[in-house]
Amino acid sequence: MSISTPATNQTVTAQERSFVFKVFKSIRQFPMLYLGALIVLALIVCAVFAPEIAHYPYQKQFMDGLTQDGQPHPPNAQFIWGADEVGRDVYSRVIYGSRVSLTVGVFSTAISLLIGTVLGLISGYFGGFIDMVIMRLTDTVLAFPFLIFCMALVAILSPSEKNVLFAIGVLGWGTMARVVRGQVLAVKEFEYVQAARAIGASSWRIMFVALLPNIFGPVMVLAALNVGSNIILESGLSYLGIGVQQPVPSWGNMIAEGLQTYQFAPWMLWAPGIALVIAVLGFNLLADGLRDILDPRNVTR
Amino acid sequence: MLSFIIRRLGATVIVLFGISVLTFILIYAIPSDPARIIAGQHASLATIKEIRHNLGLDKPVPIQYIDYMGRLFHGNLGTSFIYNEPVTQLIMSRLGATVELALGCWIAELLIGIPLGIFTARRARKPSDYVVSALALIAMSLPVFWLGLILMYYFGFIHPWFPLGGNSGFTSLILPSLTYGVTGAAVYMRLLKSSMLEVMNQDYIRTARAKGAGENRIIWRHALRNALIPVITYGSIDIGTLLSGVILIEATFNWNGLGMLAYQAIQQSDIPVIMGTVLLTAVLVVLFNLLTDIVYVFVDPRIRYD
Amino acid sequence: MARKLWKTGTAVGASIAALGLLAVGITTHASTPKATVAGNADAVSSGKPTPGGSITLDTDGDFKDLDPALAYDTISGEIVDQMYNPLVTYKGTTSQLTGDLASSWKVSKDGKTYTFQIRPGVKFWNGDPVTAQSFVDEFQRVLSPSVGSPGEGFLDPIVVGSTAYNKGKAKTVSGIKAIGKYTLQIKLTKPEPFFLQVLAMPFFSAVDQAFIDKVGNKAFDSQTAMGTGPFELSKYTGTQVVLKKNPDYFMKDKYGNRLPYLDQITINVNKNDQVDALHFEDGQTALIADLFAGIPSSVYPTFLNSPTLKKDIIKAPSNATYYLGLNNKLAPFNNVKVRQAVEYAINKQRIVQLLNNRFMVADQPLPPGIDGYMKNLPASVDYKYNPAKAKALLKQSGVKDLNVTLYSENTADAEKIDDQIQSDMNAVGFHVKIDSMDWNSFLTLTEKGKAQAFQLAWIQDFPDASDFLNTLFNSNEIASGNNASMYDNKQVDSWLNEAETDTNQAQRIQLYDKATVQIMKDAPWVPLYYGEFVYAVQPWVHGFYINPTLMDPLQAIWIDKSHQ
Repeated sequence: MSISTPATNQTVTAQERSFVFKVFKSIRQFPMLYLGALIVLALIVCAVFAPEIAHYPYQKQFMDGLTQDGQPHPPNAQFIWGADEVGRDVYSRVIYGSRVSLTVGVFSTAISLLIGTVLGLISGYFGGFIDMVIMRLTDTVLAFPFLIFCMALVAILSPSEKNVLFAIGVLGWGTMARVVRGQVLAVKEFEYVQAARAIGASSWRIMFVALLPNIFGPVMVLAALNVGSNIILESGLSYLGIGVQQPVPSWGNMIAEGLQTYQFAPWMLWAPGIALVIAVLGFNLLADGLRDILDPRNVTR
Repeated sequence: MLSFIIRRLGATVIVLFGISVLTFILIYAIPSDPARIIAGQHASLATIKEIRHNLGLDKPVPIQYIDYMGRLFHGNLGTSFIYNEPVTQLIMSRLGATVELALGCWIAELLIGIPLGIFTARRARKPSDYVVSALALIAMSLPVFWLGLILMYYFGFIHPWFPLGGNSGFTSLILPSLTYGVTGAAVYMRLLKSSMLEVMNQDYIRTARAKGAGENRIIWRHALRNALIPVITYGSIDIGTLLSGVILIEATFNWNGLGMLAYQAIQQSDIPVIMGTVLLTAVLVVLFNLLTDIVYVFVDPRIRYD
Repeated sequence: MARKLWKTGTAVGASIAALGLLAVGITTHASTPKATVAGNADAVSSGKPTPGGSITLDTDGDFKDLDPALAYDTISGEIVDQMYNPLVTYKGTTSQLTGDLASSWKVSKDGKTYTFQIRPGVKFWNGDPVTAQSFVDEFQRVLSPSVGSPGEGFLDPIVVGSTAYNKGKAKTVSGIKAIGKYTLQIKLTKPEPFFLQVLAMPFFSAVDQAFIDKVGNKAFDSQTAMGTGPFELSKYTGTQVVLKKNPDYFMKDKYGNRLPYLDQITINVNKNDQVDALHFEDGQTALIADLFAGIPSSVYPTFLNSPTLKKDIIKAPSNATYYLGLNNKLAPFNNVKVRQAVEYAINKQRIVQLLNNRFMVADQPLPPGIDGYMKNLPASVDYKYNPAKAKALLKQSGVKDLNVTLYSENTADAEKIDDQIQSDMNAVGFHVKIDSMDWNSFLTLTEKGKAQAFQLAWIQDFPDASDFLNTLFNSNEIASGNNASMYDNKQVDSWLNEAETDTNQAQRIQLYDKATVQIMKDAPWVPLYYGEFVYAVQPWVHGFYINPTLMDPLQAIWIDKSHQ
């Protein structure tokens, strides 16, 4: 990442200089974090402005997108990344695909985050029997063959974007609950929590006001990682034929299609494949960066 | 110690019960009738009714569950609706393949992940660390079925060094294991790296250094042994999940294992097979977790259970 | 709802038609290469067959059944056909019947009594003799509810005493008798002009009841086999089947060589089509044929794009019709004008192009290979792509709510077509939502009459118009789920019922013509395209041919790598 050095600029005030310097220093210190954030930002822009960035609607089938014997058209001026097997523009579909993949990744994570955090907080805070029950439930969810379970659930609900993200989210909260519980156990005995207790704050207040902010860091790291892995998971479900369904494009179902055509239409495999890798990489970098920031050993550097 | 194991076993039983109930509920929510599918189109309604009766599908769902569990306690997983074969037999014929593949994948992860972990820990914050870490992150982001097919195309077809899928001996295990190893090794690498860095900062390592021990000796004799503990933990949990997690690898490499069996069963509403595979993999996961906890007590003297 | 697709779904079952035995008696009705080899010149072999050698095949589905009474999907059918023989079968590539285990047969004047002479001296692999009783046993098994055979409905109620036996009210089937060792007599309650075609299905093969009693019905379906066919079961694991030559098979080729030529056939379950294509490209497998229901559409373009692979493709028409069903009982398709509008709205040519031009555009329910197909449809029911006319019809209908959910199986091909139908229908004023799901759920839904519009196929069980028109459009087939568009026209019913028992073929065809025209007028279906077998055969595989009703003729092929 090349960053120009504005510190040499004469006109900036000392305050500004120190801010710019801080940013610069922070970029130097956590390059991965910023790269990750940049990728994620780009993804969001892509997803929000998909209709502006894409050349055509994602579902439009062009007569000239197919050759005479019905094969996908290779990249040309009209279809810059080629066409797919029904004559749709691959570029436009990759752009719109960011919407679906991001939605699935983020919302499924949000669902697991919500369930996992609440259960983890309750479990860690109250302990005892409640803890036992919640933890056995967590064990159950974690012991389940995840993909098989997802398949069954999607088979019942019928595959669609909404159901896929729901299935992934509802089944994926186990780790989250465990991490939250562990963190709660660690900070529960801190003085400020004891103090809150002493002044008679309600359990809910302690959990959500005193405890939650203090375990926020590790949870966010896990969440960022989760978004990436859920995007991959959706692609896996698509590969097995139970992910987001056509004509709605997700990178997963585009890759699954591309795998069938790679010998004669490799662009259908590479375009969504590279997009997916970059996106997942972005979230992983972000998670790594967050972890570095939160790691006390880094602060001393 | 004993009471700890007993308590953990008790919890395991509860978990398995939960899994069986959930799976059963899930299966009955799938909107298709196995009897109708088995009977075929020309079968009379009487035949379908007879099949439904033979399979016990005409009883209320809770009764069916109790029947199922009753048979289960006698070690009987029932008979597949579709294959007409005992589920135990079906599972046993596939289990070997899946265990083989899971082990192959696991070993590949370790073989790639551990050396890279040591390497990056020793070169922490040097350019080579960044390069390897970045590559590992990219590898982590690759969908296995994508990587698998590409590897197979280049190293099985263009350069016919390895078989094109299927489970036929050691050579056929290499590409699938490598595929999984590449995508999964990053976790081991990062885990080992951070725990190595932590260990290297500890007093006893400093003492060893002060006593003039060589850097290699410090790493191999002192640091690695302790740094490996979290790796072992993760590894044992990982191998449990691998047993049900290699399904995508199975699909990519035509590996006829448990995962494919379960996948097919879901598509055909083959209830006994779904139940059997789900329960078996869950049992394995739970057992591996239990084993980890127990091994932990022996490996790490700091942990006590009482 | 092709029955053939029953267990496997369109993806897998999309090609083969009725099962039937491919043990084509080569001695009796000489399958000269000219008469039997379809399509590819490479497959036509000059020179004498060379016995010996073995081949490997892939399949992308599962082996489900070994029992001929139960096998009803193409993949089980392929192995069952190698192991068992029925009474009659089809000649070469034709739909003409010939004896298999029956050396001759007679039909009484009233069309109700069939008498078969069984080929004497034929033995099961274990040496047990084949007699008329071997067939009686199998008929009873098919009719027993405890076996649960999908073939039951083909005998019950047409065979005398079948219903009583099925209901457990009789110990034997009164209409089926072994008269002496080698004579089999079957009595029908009323004439059925296509009964011999029914008997050519492998459900009705000779079985060794003594062997079945010993191993039990379950093992007979899932572990072991005992038949008369050209190949014996040597290994069966669910993921691999090995068949080895039956040295005493009763058929000989025209040179007097005993069939089959191959020593061994190994079939591997390899579900990844991409990899299976690579196996074929690599020369590891001999054929991509019935075990795949043809070259999978996802790899077909790979074959088209490679000059060498392209030469290995062979084609033959299959008796199958792919259609868009419109539920006559559900709005908006309870209005005939709306249904006719859809007939004009769909661009079938484009659909065929999407499928790489593998198939032919369809214009009526019967495929061209079935007697009764109308070469010249009356212009009024010969619908051609015409969006303007579709819009006009919709306007005339006065129907305002044009929201439609289109159901299909979730295969790549079906979904491609879904997309095209959706955009074609939306273009004339419908609002189409697509819902694609796994085969079983899809079938359950359409059979119950809950699907407004659905994409389905029918693949013949046997080559007769009854198997299409009566099964799919008679209102008495609504309950069975076959008539999934809930089509109900009393006039058409009476024509179809009449044709069911009429033994005069010319009269039957006239009845079917009338029915076809009326059905097309009522437009419960939009026929989309006719099926086609699109297979790949290695140049070193000789003697291969395609019969639209039978499975791959594995007993007739030989390999010669020097002769390509």
